[in-house]
Amino acid sequence: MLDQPANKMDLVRHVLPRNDSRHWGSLVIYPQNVHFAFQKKSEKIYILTRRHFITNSGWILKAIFIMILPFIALIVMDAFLPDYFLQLTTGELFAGSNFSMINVLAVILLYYSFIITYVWTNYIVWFQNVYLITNERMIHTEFRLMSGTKVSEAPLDNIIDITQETYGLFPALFNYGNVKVQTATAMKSRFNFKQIPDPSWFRSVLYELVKIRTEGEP
Amino acid sequence: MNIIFNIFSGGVLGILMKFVFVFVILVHVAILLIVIKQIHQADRVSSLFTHKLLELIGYINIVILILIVLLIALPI
Repeated sequence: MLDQPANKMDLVRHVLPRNDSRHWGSLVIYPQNVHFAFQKKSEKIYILTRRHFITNSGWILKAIFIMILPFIALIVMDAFLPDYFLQLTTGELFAGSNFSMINVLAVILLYYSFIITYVWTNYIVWFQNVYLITNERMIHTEFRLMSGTKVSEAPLDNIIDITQETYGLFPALFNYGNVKVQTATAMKSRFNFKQIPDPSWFRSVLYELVKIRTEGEP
Repeated sequence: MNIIFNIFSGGVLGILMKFVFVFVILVHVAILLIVIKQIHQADRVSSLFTHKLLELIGYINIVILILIVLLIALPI
């Protein structure tokens, strides 16, 4: 906090008292070990947020289903085609062909390797897509798989309007939603925090931080 | 049922299937390498351990894929 007077920091501490991690890492206050490109020495990160973890439930359920699908197939096979099931488990099914148990192992490994990649890439996309609120600006790092990263930023001084949206059953149930921030640039651009946890808390904290930044008091 | 397994392992069609199999794996490895590089270059949004762990999972997956190629290619 080299560029801020002590009283400003006290005001920030009043709004954000201590470091905390909520919603499975979807919302981190005073995140440790976080660095971004072109971060100034005096710049301190107050909040790191990303989409609520529950928004990952779609691909997680899909991955679990795909993972257990072969076992379901075996159970169904055992129930309706018991002869084939017996031949498959004993290896008799491949008798007379060049297909060996090594090939079976290769197919199984490839199948689960695809699932690992599916889970891994989806997790990375969620994990690396972050919104940062620093003492100077807000930054959105959009991680696009295979095509690069898009970084948008806007100074806190330029914020003129903050809108919060919570639509739908899931957002209401798990307390997440969108926060739209309008900045007073020539383009009047909008900064959209998508599906972030605790949007009403986030909106009020952002409002206080902007007020501290611009006026020096909440 | 044997016909299916013979297609996969014997004759010209078997070789073609193996070629397709290996090609898919190589594309998969290429995708993994690109994503690992992307993670490596991305901003660190967590501890160094988590960052490296994510990269490591990618490398483990590549090792599994190389193992698959060896299983198919080597006449065991």
